[in-house]
Order: sequence, then C-alpha cells, then structure tokens
Amino acid sequence: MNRSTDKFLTLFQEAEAHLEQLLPLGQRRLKARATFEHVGFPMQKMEKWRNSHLRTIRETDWVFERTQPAVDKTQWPERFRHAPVFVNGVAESDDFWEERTDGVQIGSLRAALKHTPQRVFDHFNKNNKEDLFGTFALNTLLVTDGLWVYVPKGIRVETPVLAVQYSSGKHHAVNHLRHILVVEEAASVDVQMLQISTPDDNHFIQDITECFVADRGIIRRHVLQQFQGETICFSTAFSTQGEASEYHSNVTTLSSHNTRNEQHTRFDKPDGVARLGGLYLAAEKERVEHQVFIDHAVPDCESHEKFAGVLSGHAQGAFTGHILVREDAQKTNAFQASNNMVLSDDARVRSLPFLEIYADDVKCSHGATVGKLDDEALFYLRSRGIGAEEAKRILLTSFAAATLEDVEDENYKQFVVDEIQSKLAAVSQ
Amino acid sequence: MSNNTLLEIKDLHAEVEGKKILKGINLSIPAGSVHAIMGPNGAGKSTLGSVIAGKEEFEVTHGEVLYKGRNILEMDPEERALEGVFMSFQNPVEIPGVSMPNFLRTIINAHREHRGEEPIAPAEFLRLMKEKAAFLGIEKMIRGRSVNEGFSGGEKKKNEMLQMMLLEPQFVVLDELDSGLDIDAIRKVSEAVNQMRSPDNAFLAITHYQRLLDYIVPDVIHILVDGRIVKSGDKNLALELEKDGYEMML
Ligand SMILES: Nc1ncnc2c1ncn2[C@@H]1O[C@H](COP(=O)(O)OP(=O)(O)O)[C@@H](O)[C@H]1O
Ligand SMILES: [Mg+2]
Repeated sequence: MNRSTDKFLTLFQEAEAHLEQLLPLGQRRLKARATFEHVGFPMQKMEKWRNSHLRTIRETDWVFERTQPAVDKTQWPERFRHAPVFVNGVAESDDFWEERTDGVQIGSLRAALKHTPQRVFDHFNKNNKEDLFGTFALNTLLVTDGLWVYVPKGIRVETPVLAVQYSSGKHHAVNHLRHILVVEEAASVDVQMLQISTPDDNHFIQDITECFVADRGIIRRHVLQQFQGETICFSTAFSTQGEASEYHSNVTTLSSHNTRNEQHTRFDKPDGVARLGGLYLAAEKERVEHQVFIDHAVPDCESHEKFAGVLSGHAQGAFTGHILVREDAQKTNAFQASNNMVLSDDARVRSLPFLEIYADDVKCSHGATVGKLDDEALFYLRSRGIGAEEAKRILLTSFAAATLEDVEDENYKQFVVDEIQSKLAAVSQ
Repeated sequence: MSNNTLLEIKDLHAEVEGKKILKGINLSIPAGSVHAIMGPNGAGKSTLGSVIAGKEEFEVTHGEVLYKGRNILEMDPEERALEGVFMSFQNPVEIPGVSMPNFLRTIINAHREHRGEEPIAPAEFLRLMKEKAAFLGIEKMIRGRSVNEGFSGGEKKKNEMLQMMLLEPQFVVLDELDSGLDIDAIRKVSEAVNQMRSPDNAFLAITHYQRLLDYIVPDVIHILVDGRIVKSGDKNLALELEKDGYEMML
C-alpha cells in the first residue's frame, strides 16, 4: 500500500463520525473504503498520472477540519457575488434548498439528502468510476457536500444556475465535494460555477460532478477556476448521455497552483453530441492539466474537444485526450484539438492524443499545436498604431477565446473573455 | 531639405541576418507628391518599406529616415503609425480570432487617443466603416470575419486601402498594391489612393510592373537595383523600362 493511500485511510478513520454527521452515506463510504484500499491512491508512474504533480499530496499531512471562515468576496468577479457558496466543502447556508412549482430542484447535496434521498441515491456514484482511480473512491470516502440540480422532464431552465466553490485555510485541509446534475427527458439546464481560493489557501480539493443527460436533454456546464495560494485541485466531471442529447462542458482556468481537470463522457444512446472545451492561462510555476476520456459506446454520436493553454514563466501544462470508439459505434465523429501558446523558454506543455478505434466507419481527427506569438501579426497590429502590449493582449485573447466558441450564453462568454483579457494584460507585459 | 519635404532618406544601409540589402539609399519626398520605386524581384523594395514602417528584423547599419524632420528610426512602429506613417503590406497577414470591426475600431481609437480625442461613437464608427467598405466593394465580407482571414489577394489589398482611408495617414508606402489584382480591382484601389492625394500627404508606390502607374501617376520614378537607386526620372522612365527591361540599368 502506498504512502498516500495509508494516510488518507487514517484520515478517514479519524473523521468518519464527523463526515457521516455532515452527509450520511453509511454503507457507501465503507464500500468506497474497501475500493480505495484495493485501488490505492494514484502513483506518478501510472499512464494517466505521469503529468500530474503528486509529490505534495504524498508528503503533506492532510487534516479534516470543518472550518467556516468568513467569506472574503473581494477577489470575486461581480457576476458570482450573490451566488450560493460552498465554503471548504460545505454549503454556507444550512438550508440551501429550492424546489420550484415545476419540480426543478436546486440546492445542496446535504439538503437534497433530507428532501429527496431516494432520488439522490438513484444517481449518487452511478457515473463515478470508483474503481478506475483511487481519487474517485477517495471522493466518496471524504465527501461533505456539493451542488444538487434536478430538472424534470420537458423543463428548460432559462436562467443559469450559479454557484461558488470557495476554499480558504492554511492547515492543509481536504475539501471533497460531489455535485450532481440531472436533466430528465427533453429538459435543459446551464450551470456556471466559480472555483476560487484565497491567497493563503493550501487545501487539497477534489470535486466530482456527476452529470446525467436523459434523451434529448441538454446540460451546459461552465467552470471558471481562479485558484490563488497553494491550492491543489482535482476537478472531475462524469457525464452519460441519452439519445440525441447534448452535453457541453467548458473549463477556464485563470490561475492555479496545481490543477488537474478531468472529463469522462459516455454516450449510451445514438445521436448524442458532446462539446468539451478548456482553456488555461498558466504563469510562473503554475501547473494545469486536462485529462479527457470520451467513450463512444454507441453509433451516430459526435464529440468535439477544443482545448488551449497559454503558458509563461515556468508554467507546466498538459493535455491527454483519450477517445475510445467501440466496435459498434459506427458513424462516430470525434474531433480533438489542443493548441498551446508558449511565451517563455522555461514553460513546458505536453499534448497526448490517445485514439482507440475499433469501429471502421468513423471520422476522427486530432491536432496539437505548440506555438509562440505570431511576429508578423504583432507587427501588423503595431504598424496600425496599436501599442506592443495591447497588440500581444489582442492576439492572446483571440487565441484563448477560441475555446469559448461553443458557449451559448453570450453574457457568460463576454464575462469570461473580459476576465481572460485582464488576466492577459498582466501576462503580456 | 526644403521645408516642403515630408520624408527624407539619407544614405540608408540595412541588412537582415547579416546580409546587406539596402546599400545607401537617398530619397527626398515632398508633401503633395507620389514617388514610385520600381525594380526587379529581390532588389530590396519591400525591405525599404519595412524599414520605414519599423519592422525590427531589418537592422539599419547606417543612415537616417527623417519624417517631418524627425528621425523615425528611433521610434516604435506604433509611434510611427500614430504620427501618420502607413504601409500597405505586400502580403497582409491573417489574424484569426480578431474580428474586422473590432480591429478597425481599435486602430481608429488608438489614433484618436493619440490626438487627445474621445473614442469614436459606435454609430459613427459603423457609418464610417460601411461607407468606406462600400466604396471598395468589401462591405459584406468584413462583417463577421477575422482580419484578412480567408480573404482573396484582392480583398486583402482592399482591406489595406480601407484601413488607409479610415486612418488618413500623411505618408503612405504602397508595397505592390497591384500584385494579384485584376484590372477592376486595380482601378478601385487606385481610386482610393487618388481620392486621398492632397498637398499635405505623400505616397511611395512600390511596384514591379509599370501597369499600376497608369492609374496612380507618379511625379518621380526611381529604379532600385541591388539595394541602390540607379536611376530617377519622370513617369516616362516607366515606359522606357517597359521597353528595355531592368537589364539596361545594370
Ligand atoms: N526576413 C528576411 N530574412 C532573410 N532574407 C530576407 C528577408 N526579407 C528579405 N530578404 C532578402 O532580402 C532581399 C530583398 O528582399 P525584398 O526587399 O523583399 O525584395 P523586393 O521587395 O524588392 O522583391 C532578397 O534577397 C530577400 O531574399
Ligand atoms: Mg517585395
């Protein structure tokens, strides 16, 4: 058993009573413990963990503590200042629960467990792959709360659901969250989440989002990450899709310390579409990684991946894109692009496409680029009177904004582009 | 230098990657005039334009370029542009993701800010952009497109003219404005130039063929061969050249 596995098992043992009191999962935690013990915490040498930075996790004595610091919103974008907040893994409001007359439920997982336990357990862990990586079982072991969104058949939720995942504290605490998004047949929802930490934060966060998209349903999931301090965050989304359904995911990382974003998508019925986008801006010694796994299990589905990174300083970025097209999945369309802009000699980026195709009638493409700013374009802009810094910012912003093309909510798109632009103003100097 | 001189080049030497390209250029271009530079491929015509516009990869090893009496070699490209220098590129670069309207508004506002003016009002900008683009016949295609992306050769040159018309520069380098254009397009871009001609500004028209000079009639023609101006004369020089070729100049 590796050191990290051992450590987290001990941590669980000490915290179990407290965890159960916060979120009673009973047997599910014990089952997850057995799985975790068996699978173990991921090791650096494992194929899909090679680009992740696990040393700090291995060497830190993590604690579980339920702290509820006063929430400092000064660094938050205005857009999220009134949204419900999860503070160090638990909803700030004890009673975060809304059930609308049309049956839409929005609240915390803790509240959902009280109001609608059956429905919660119909979904909890159904998409999570506990036995794939130890991190996923660990999440069940240590989870305290998360966002619950349920949209009944035929209902289209017009206004985006906003939430904030906030972490602040300097005692090396773990925060594990589970978000669950369920849309029934022909229903739709747009969820926008800010993940943010304070400059003194050094927590280990692991959030898992389980998305269930029924036939002709649509989930749009947007995450904006703004980690400060020494926050380690593993953020994973699992989605399964019904017939002619759509799943959109867009993760924009403005700042980070050590972030691993992971997306697992599976098509269960034909004619599904998945659009996955991600952008990270990584400066100084930031490390960001995207792991994507798309399971074309049935015919006639299409997946689009558009990922990009802008790296400067000593930043490190990585993209691993695994596309599995199973034998029966004829007429699959799968497109993948990973484009990176490297602005300094010391920044590093790796793109690893991984195509596993067993069907023969398939359209599949992947492309990876690593480039610098285009000097010709830079000169063109300057020769028209645009200052050097602004010219760089314009070029970088247009490069970065390409990952947001598929975002439907124009307000959100503009908001993120503005955030990117002001972040890049600092990078391009 | 007469007080009418807008641009004066004195014994200009420039090289790129250690290769000498301009080997002592002297030129004096008064306001109100059009000078043409003709010469074979590789003579250094585009290099001269790039040095005037401020492209950094060309190293000026000797000489001066005075614009309104100031040595612009010490200025950044953007500063030169804001002071009224404009180059229409031989091969305008494509800039994916930067939309045409945004780009045009940004450059107009950069110039307005430099003059201490407020940013252009959105309605006024749209009106202006439409008017000039319609004149050039590229009104439809600039909407929703990225700068030069997917433009044909002719559309790229028209886009250069659009920017020139919007920025109203005082000294304009036209680098092979006619290359890749059909006769209608040459007429159109020439009309844009001729409309702008005034006693206050001047043009340096670089061209390989004399064809363009039927439409943009120059006051003086210079022949550039191997980094040097080997002959200057009036517009009849172009006809001579047409007949005898560059070889006779060597
Ligand atoms: N960026 C560059 N790097 C190396 N050589 C260059 C570069 N630009 C131009 N040259 C060389 O300089 C010479 C002059 O080029 P140019 O000024 O483009 O000629 P023209 O415009 O008269 O055809 C040519 O021999 C060309 O190969
Ligand atoms: Mg040339």
